[in-house]
Amino acid sequence: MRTEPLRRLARSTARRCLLGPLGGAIALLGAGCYQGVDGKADGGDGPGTSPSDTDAGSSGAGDDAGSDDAGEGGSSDTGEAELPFDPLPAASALAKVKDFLTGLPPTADEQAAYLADPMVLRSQVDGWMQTREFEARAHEIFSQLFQQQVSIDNLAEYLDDNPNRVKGMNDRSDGRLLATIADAFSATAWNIVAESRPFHEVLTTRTFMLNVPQMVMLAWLDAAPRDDAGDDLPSWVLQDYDNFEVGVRWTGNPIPLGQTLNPDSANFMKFWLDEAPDADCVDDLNKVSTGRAALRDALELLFRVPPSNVGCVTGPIIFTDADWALRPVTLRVAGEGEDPTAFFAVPDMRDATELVLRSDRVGFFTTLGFSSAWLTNDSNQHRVTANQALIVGVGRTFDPENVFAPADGATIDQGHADPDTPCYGCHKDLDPLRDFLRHSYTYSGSRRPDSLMADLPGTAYFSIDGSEPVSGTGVGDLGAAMAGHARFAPAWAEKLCTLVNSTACDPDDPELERVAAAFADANFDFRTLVRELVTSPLVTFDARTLTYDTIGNPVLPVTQDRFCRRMSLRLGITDVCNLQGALEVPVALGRRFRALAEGVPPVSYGRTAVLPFVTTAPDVFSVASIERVCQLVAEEWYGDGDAPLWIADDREAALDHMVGSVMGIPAGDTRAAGVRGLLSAHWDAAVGQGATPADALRSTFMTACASAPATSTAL
Amino acid sequence: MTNPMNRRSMLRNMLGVSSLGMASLATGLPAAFLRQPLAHAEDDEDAIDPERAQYLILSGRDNGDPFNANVPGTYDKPSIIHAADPAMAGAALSLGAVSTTAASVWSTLPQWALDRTSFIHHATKTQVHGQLVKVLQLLGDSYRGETIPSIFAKHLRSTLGTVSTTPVPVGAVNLSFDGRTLPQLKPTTLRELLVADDSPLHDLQDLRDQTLDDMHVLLRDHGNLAQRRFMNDHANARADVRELAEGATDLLAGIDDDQPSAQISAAVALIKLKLTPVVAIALPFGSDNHADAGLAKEAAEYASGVGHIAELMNLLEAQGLQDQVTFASINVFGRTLKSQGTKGRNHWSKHHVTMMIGKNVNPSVIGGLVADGDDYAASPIDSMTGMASDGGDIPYDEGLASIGKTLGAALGLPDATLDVEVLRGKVITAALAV
Repeated sequence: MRTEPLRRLARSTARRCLLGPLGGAIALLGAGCYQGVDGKADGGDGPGTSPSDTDAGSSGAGDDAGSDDAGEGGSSDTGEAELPFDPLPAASALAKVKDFLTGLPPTADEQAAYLADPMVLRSQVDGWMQTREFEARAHEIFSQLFQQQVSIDNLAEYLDDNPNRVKGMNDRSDGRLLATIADAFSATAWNIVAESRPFHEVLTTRTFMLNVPQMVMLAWLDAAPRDDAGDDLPSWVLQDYDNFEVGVRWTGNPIPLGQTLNPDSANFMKFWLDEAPDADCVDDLNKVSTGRAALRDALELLFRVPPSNVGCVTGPIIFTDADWALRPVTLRVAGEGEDPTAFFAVPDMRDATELVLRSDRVGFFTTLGFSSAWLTNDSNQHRVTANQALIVGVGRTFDPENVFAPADGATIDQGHADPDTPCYGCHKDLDPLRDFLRHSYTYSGSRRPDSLMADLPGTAYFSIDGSEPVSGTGVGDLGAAMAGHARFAPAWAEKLCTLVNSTACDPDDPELERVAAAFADANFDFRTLVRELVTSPLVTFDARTLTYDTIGNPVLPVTQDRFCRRMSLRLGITDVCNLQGALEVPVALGRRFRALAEGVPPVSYGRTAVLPFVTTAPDVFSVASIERVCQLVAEEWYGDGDAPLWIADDREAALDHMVGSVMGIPAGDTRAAGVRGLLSAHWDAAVGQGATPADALRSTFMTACASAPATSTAL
Repeated sequence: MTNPMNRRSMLRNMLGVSSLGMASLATGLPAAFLRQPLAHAEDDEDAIDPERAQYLILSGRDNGDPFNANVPGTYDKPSIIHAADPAMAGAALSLGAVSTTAASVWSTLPQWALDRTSFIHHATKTQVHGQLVKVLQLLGDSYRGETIPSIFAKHLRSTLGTVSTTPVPVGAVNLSFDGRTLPQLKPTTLRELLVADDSPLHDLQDLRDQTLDDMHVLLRDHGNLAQRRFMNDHANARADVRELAEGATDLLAGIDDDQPSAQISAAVALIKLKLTPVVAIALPFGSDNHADAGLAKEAAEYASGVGHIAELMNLLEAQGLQDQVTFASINVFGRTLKSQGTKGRNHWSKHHVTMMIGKNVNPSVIGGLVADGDDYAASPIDSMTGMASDGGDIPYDEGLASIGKTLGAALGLPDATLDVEVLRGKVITAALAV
């Protein structure tokens, strides 16, 4: 049976669909190629959080229809009655901002200062951005936005290696291989922020945070190049080192690692095993591999995976713990006649601030992480990499409605050159763009030699939003073109706005344009962007904006990253969700924490999606997952366990902790006393039901931990 | 001050409601509105024959797997390439009374499942990764752009009596519901949620719920509408959590990863517990095999994929659910059938095969192939006979929409409902059992 709220909902939904999702590019479903998509690409046909979807002002909806603060309703230009403005309570706005930036709740003093003078938020934000909590949060945000997560399968394909062996390389590095590949560019971006360099250097930098294993891998890719079809190209290592034969040894005198890695040594590339070979393993330790197989065996041995002809033993430890630490390394292209760094020059790499390569690496879109996350092939021909680079760099994906006639029609793939083909709309723009990548790399990710340049267009072109095409060659020119485009600042304002609100802000909002302009005017200082954004009514919802009219005032479930971060910090338990594998509990219990935390939806990106997928409503499984995480925390650290953080005798302090830290409601907040009273009553009632004091403490904590304030973005 | 327990008991007695009712009181919104604000589907609950209503386990991937390349209909044209692996060699296959030829591995499915299997040749009309959601929206032919899993779930929920309407992707499948993307719910997470533990803290759950309800009443007075709405949703979800039954320990306890076998166990568990009408899994059938020399990866994954379907069928039968659950496979696009001069297969928007296995499914091979440039495309279909027919009443362009209608019919949705929810196409009656 439909009621008044439902009729208003249906009408407003239809209206929003006619306007198009957030006014962004309308997807042309028939085009059959890349489309302009945004966070509401499914048509926004469901109950969202815009004011038109609430029961504000509706009749028959109960006794709380309308907000006590509503009063800005009026007529729109169309003559329709405007929905009243429903601001976010100031205390909630402050908590939302500080939690987003640090994972911590406001202190009582911070809240009092903000309530007395909201302008103080700017200086508060500046202060929070100087904390280590913000640094960690920034790393997390960059990790989400720069799309550097790589899987075993993808990395194996990028290396042209067997996934099981790459898994072995990762396992024998205790997971650090994949983890540091994923983290490297976040650290690089943070360096740019910390040094107050223009943030668009994420597109143009050639100085990356790398560790020795990654340097080895980049150098190895140069040593084992492949062409567009994946076939081997000549290897400079095999040409320069005719004694390159790889083997493992166990009999005779142990071979020092210095000899193994020294091309002048008789024991060059002879690896002494770390332990006695298993009796079941094939006993052919004196065999050697040569040629390309030797290159592959050498790489695997550097990560402790012996050649398959030896079988089930472990190679020697090459990398120390210090080698896994990230530090700034500049990647330079070798000059004419100059040899690049050999992948086995590990001792030299330890002290080097520069790595000489044959391939050019610049910006986030040429890293190990990005390149292997977005693999290409001789059918796709770097189009996917180019499009994803565009998405991350300037928040655009290819839309058939983009108007751009390439300067040279011959740059379009002949298979799609016919304007009558369904794919022409995208390919006329995408093909000239992907040529930047083709100039630098084969489809296998290796440096493209001159011998494979003849069939390529000499010039690539970059243009979005109808801008004047920028021509160039190679990835360096592409990075510069994106960095210099007017779209850069708005794109990053939009990205952050989406993360803060867990839903997209209206890209046409003048306030968002102001924030982007302030970012650009500050020489693209990232902290300026953050400050301007989070102190803006786009986030605090203390004034009406176009974004408010479009999306309302979103109060949404926290995403996995924010829930885990805030709980880790507020409870004082490192990596409480065990997403980094750092939770100090028995392995089985750690797996349970992680499995449950994965029931809380993360921020995720899909291929060709400009905006992230974020959950917009609590659902049965995410709520259940949080409840169970809270239960495990309670059982492990509250009460009478082995190493409790809180015991029942600490009742008053524990209650203060639950209200102020766990729920993020500072002392002095108008809600604090009432909430504390309820938790205290719960404690007593639990005891009254026969619970032990420890269980009463646990149950009270679980109530606080799973409450709406503890699990929302803005309560 | 009134004792909270007595107050709660009093209200329960007055209203006969659980936490949902408390949430309604806390927020001032009707419980019915809290529960299903867009429950237009419930108006149709009398129209679904309970005897025909089916749960759906849907396998779908954005990788563009070459599922279409080794099914009935692809072995009568010599120019269509198959891997040399014996599992991919053409062999006789019986689908009920229909004799056909397909990759030999298909014959490893239980015969009772093959006797209720239909392979439908059509096109998804896209060849872009990441567009599975668009395909499930029938590329604009679904009402209000809803995806067919969501449409089916909304209509089936009441008849099946599930706790939740929302489809659950236990595999990495991009699904949306009411316009929002659904997060993956991994099998390992489900194991933790649904396998009981003996903690004494469970005895205090009602007390915690009461405290949270009281807390929401307090917070409501300090909050704006959006915050109240969040608390409504939170209360709603908590109420659903309390209805999560335990009773699938046998299916979940052995889960220790999130691979296809675990997804299958999790999917069957969710259905056994009547948690949702629709579950999505992700079974690989060759993946994005552009550079698959000798189609070796395709052969390996295809055999494994068919093996997983067999595993699912056997598990459903063991749980007594084989007549209540329909399985379907829909991927984002198919792949080229003929050699294109590359090592593997390329994206191909013009041919895809949907597979359905279920009680209401007629064993059949629907549609076929017609030459199209350097490859083959899906042919028009005669909806009554299921034959490929140039003059068929389901033209090429309506094949995908017809898949939506046909699958919906196989799940028990009546024609009138399907005509509202799917804007074009026809039910392929030849694919349905009487």
